[in-house]
Amino acid sequence: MKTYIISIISLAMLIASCTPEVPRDARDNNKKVSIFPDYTEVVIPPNIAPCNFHINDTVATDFVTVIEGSDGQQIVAGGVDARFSESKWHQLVAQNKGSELNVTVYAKTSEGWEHYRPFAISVAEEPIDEYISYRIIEPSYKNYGSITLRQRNLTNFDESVIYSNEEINMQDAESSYQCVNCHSYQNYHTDNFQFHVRHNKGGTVIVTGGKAVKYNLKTDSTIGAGVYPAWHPSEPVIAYSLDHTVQAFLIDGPKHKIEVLDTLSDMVLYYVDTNEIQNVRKSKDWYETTPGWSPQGDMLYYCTAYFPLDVTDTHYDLGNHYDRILYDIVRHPYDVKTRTIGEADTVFKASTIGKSASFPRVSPDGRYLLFGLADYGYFHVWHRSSDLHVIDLQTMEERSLTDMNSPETDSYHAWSSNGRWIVFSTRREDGNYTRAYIGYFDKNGKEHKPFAVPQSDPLFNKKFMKSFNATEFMVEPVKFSPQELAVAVRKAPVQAKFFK
Amino acid sequence: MKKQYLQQIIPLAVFAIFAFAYLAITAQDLFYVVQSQDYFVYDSLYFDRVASYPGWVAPYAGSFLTQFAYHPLLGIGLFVLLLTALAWIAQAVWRMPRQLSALTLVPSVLVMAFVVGWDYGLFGTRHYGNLFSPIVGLILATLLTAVSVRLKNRWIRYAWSMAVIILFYPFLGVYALMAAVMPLMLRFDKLIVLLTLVPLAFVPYIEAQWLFPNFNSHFCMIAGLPFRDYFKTPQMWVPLYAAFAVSILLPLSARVAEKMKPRIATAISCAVVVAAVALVPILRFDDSNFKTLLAVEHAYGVGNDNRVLQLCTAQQRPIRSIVVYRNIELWKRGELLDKMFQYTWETDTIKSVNLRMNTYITGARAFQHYTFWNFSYRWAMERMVMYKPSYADIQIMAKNVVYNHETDLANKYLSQLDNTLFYKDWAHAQRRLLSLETLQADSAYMTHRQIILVPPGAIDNTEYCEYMLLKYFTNLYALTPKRAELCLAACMIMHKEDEFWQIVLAEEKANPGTKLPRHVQEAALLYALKKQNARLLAQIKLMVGPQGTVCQQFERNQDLLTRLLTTPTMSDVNTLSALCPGTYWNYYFNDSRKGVIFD
Repeated sequence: MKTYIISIISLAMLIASCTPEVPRDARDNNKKVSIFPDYTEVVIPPNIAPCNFHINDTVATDFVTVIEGSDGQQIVAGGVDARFSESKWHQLVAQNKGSELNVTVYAKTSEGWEHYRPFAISVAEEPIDEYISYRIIEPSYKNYGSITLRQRNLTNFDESVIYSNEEINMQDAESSYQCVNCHSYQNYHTDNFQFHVRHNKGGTVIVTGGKAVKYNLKTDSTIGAGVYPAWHPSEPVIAYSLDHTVQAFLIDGPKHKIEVLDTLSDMVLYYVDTNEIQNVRKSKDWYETTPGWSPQGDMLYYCTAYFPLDVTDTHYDLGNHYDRILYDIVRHPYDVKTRTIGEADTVFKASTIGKSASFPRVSPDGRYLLFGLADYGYFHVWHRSSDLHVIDLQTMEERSLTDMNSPETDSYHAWSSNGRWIVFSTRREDGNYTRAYIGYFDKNGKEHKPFAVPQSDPLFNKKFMKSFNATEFMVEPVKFSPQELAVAVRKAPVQAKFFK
Repeated sequence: MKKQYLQQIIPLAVFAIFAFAYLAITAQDLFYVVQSQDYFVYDSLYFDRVASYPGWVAPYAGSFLTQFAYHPLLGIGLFVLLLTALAWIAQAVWRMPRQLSALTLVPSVLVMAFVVGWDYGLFGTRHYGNLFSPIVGLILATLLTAVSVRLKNRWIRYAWSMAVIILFYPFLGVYALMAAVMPLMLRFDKLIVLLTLVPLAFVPYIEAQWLFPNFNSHFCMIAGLPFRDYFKTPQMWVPLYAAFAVSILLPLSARVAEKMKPRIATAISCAVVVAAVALVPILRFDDSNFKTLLAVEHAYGVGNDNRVLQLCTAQQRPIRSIVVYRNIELWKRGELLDKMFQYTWETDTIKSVNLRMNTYITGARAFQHYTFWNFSYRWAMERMVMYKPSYADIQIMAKNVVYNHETDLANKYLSQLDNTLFYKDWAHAQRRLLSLETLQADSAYMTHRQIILVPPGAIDNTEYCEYMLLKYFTNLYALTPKRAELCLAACMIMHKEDEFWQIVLAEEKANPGTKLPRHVQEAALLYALKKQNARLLAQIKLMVGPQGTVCQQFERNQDLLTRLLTTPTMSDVNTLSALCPGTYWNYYFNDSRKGVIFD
C-alpha cells in the first residue's frame, strides 16, 4: 500500500520538480555546516542510496546543496531537506569511486546568499552488500507490540517486510503478543536462514531447502530453546546460546534505565539436517552467549563469564550483581567432517581489564575479530559504555574503533561479505533509539567515520519511534513472503532431539 | 415543499440538540480522555503507520477529528454534526419516504450508544480514531452508494460495485464492502447479487495479502473497524453492528414501507427510533470509579490538580488508581501523614470485562510524581508498545526525559507534539526546560530534586517520610520493602513498630518540640499502649501534647483500644469505627485488616 501511494506521490513530485539554480556570488560565511544525519567527512560505498540530509539552520530562508565530483560533474538539491535524485546520485558516485565528493551548502539569509565551508564525502572502491535486514521494535522493556523483521535495499530506499508478528497476533487487545528476534543467515545468503518467535505460537523458524519449518529447540536435556544464533558458513549447523534472560529495572538516573542479564546460559550446536542438538559447554557457574563462526567454519567463538553464586543466592539474585559479571571471548576448534568440538582457548580476557565483551564476529578474511566492549554484562545495547573493538588475530593486538565509536551505545555489529563495511547499532542520535550506522574498514585495518543508513526523508530517524535492531548484511533479499513464513509459524513445531 | 423540508429537518435538529446536550452532560470527560489516549500528527511516518492496514481512511480521519475533543464541547459538537450529517445523507441517498425519515437517525443513535458504552478498555486501545472512525466510515460508505443509486443501467451499477470493492477496499475496508452491498437492497436482482457477493468473498483477502504485509488477512472482512479493541465485550459491539445492519437495511425498509399504510410506517419508524434512543443510557458504562477516573485524567490533562483531590476524596470505594492519585495530591500539599487515614483504604476492584491493570492506567503518571522518572518513562513506554502511541504517554515520556535532562530524546518527543494542534504549546513550554538553567529554576523540578537528594536513610524530614511512603505505597511493580522500612509512614502501614520507634525518636531528637503529624501521634500512642509500657505512654502523651485533640480522643477510647489489643471482638472493632473514623487506630484495626493490595 505504502509503495502504491509513494509511487503516485513521487510521480507527481517528479512532474512538479525542477533543478534549483546554484546561487552565484554567494559569500563564504566560513562556518561549519550542521546537517542531519551527519554525512560530513564520511566514507561511503559506491553503490549506496542517496545520502539525503537536513540542514540544521533555522535562520536562513532557503537552501541549495551542490555535490561536485572530481571531474566537475554536479548534482543539486534545493530546500532545507537536501534530497538527491537517485539516478543522478548513483551516476555521480560511481564516477567518483576511490575519490571525493565536495559538498557545498548555500543558505539564503536576509543579507543574501552565503555558503558554508564545503565538506567532503569520500567514495570507497569497494561496494557494500545490497541488503541489510533488521528488526523494527520499540526500545521496550517487558511488553512488545508490533514487531517486524524487515529488509532494506541499501542501493535505494526500498524496504519490505520479511515477517510481521501482526500476521499472527492481530486478534485482540488482550491476546499475548509474539516476540520476534534473532535472525541469522548462512554466509550472507538467504537460502538458509532462521529467526525465533516467542510466546504466542513460539519456536524457531528455519528456512532451508526451500521450506520454512518451525522447530522447538528446547529439549529435556537443555535449559531452554536457542537464543543467539550463528549459522555455520558452509554446513547445516547453527550455534546457539541458550539463555535464561531477565531484566532489572533501575530506578534513578538517565544513564542506565535497564539491565538485561542471563541467570543461566549454555552453548549448543544444532544440526539442521539431523534435527539434533549437541552441547558445546554446559555449566552452572559459567555463562556462555553470543556465538560467531570463523569464515572457514573451523572455529566457534563466543563470550563467556564465570560467576559462581553464593550458596544463599538463587540465580535470580544475579540482578543484584549485574555490574560484576564480565564476559571474555573464547573459541573452540570445530571439525566439520567429524562434527567434533575441541577444547576452548581464551582469545580475549576482557575481565582482566575490568571490561566485558559481546558478539565476537570474525572478518570474512579471517584477520580481525570485531566485538562490543562495555563495563559489564553482554547486553550492550543498554550500556552507554559500549564501544566497538577489534583484535588483529595475527598480532592479537586489541584496540577500540575510535573513529566509529560515540559516547553513546555502539553495539550489535556485522561485517559485510567483502569485509570492508561494518554495520552496527548505535544510540548516538538520542541515547535511546537504536539506529543502523555503516562504517568503512579499509584494507589497512583502519576504521573511518560512520554514517547513518540513508533514508528518503532525512529526518526519518528523528521522527521514527522504533529501533533498528540486530542489523545483518545480506547479498540477496529473502525470497519467502511474510504470509508464507506466517504459515510456518502457525503450525505446531517439530521437536528437536538431544544428541547424546 | 417547505413543509416536507421542515419534516426532514426538524427530526434532525431535535436529534442534534438532544445528542449534544446528552453528551455535553455525560461525556465531556470521556471525550477528553479518549482524545488523550489517541494520536494524530501531520507526519508521513504517522500516515504510514495508520495506512499499513486496509480500511485506513476512517481511522485516519477519525484520529484527525478526535484531536478536537481536547476541547470536549468542540469534539462533541463535531461528533453530533457528523451523526446528523449521516442521517441527512442517508435520507437524501435513499430518498426515504417522509414517514420513514426518522429511521435514518437510527444508525447515528446506535453509534452514539457504542461510544458511551466504552469502559476501562479505553485506557489501552490499539486502533486509532475509534471515536470518529465508525461515523466517518458510515458516511463514506453511504456517499459511495449514492453514485450507485443514480446509475440506471444494471451492468453499469454492477461495474461500479466491483470498482468499489476492488479500488476502494484498500482505503475503506469494510465500509467499501458495505457500499457494494447496500445498493443490492434497493433492487433485488439475483444475478447481480451473486456476481457481487462472489468477488466480495475473495477480493479483500487477495488485496489484504498483496498490499498489507503487516496485516493478518484473516480479518480482512472487518478491516477498518476497531476489531482489536473491546474484543471481550461483544455487547459493546452490538450497537455498532446494529448501526451497520440498519444502514444496509434502510433502502429495504423504504421498499417495505411502500406497502404499508403511512401511519403504520410512521409509528413503526418512531418506535424503532425511540427504542434506539433508549439504548443509549442503558448501554452507557455506568461506573462511579470510571467516571471519577475520567474526570481525574481530564483534570490532570488540563493542569487542574486541585480538582483531582476533590474528585478522589469524594469517591466512595475508590479503585486503587484513585487512591494513588488521592495520596499524591495529599502529599503534594504536605498533608499525607495528617490526612491519609481519613479516607478509605479499602480499594475496590475494577469492574470491567476489559481489565486494565491499575499500573497501566496510573503507573506512568504516578511514578512521575514520585520522581521515579525511569519507571514512569518505562510504564508510558510499556503502554505505548502494548497499545499505541498516545498524546498522554508521549507527554509523560517527554516530561521524564526533560527532568532527566536527556536533551536529544526530549527533543524527539517534543517535536512530535509540536506537530499537533493542541499540545504544541505544552511542548513549547517543556522545551524551555531543556536549558539546565531554566530547569533548575523550575519549582516542580526543584521539589523533586530536593527529595531525590535526601540521602538514603535520612529520616528526620516529614516530607521525605511521606515521599518514601508514596514510593512504597505505589510501588506498583518492584516491591522494595527494605526501602520502605526507612519510611515512617510505611512503617505505620506495615505495622513495623520497631522501625517506627527508631524514626519517631530520631525525629524528636533532630527536631525537639516539632509537632508530629496527626496520624503519627495516633500511631505512637497506640504502639506505646501495645507495649504496655506506662512510662513510654506518658512520654508519648507529653510529646504529642496532653491537651491536644489526639491525646484527648485517645484517652476517651483507651479502654476500647486496650481491649482491641488484647481480646478483640467484632463489636469493639465496629464501635471503634463509629467513634474514631479516619484515624490511624481505625486503619490499624479495621481497614488494614481488610488488606491493602500492593499490585
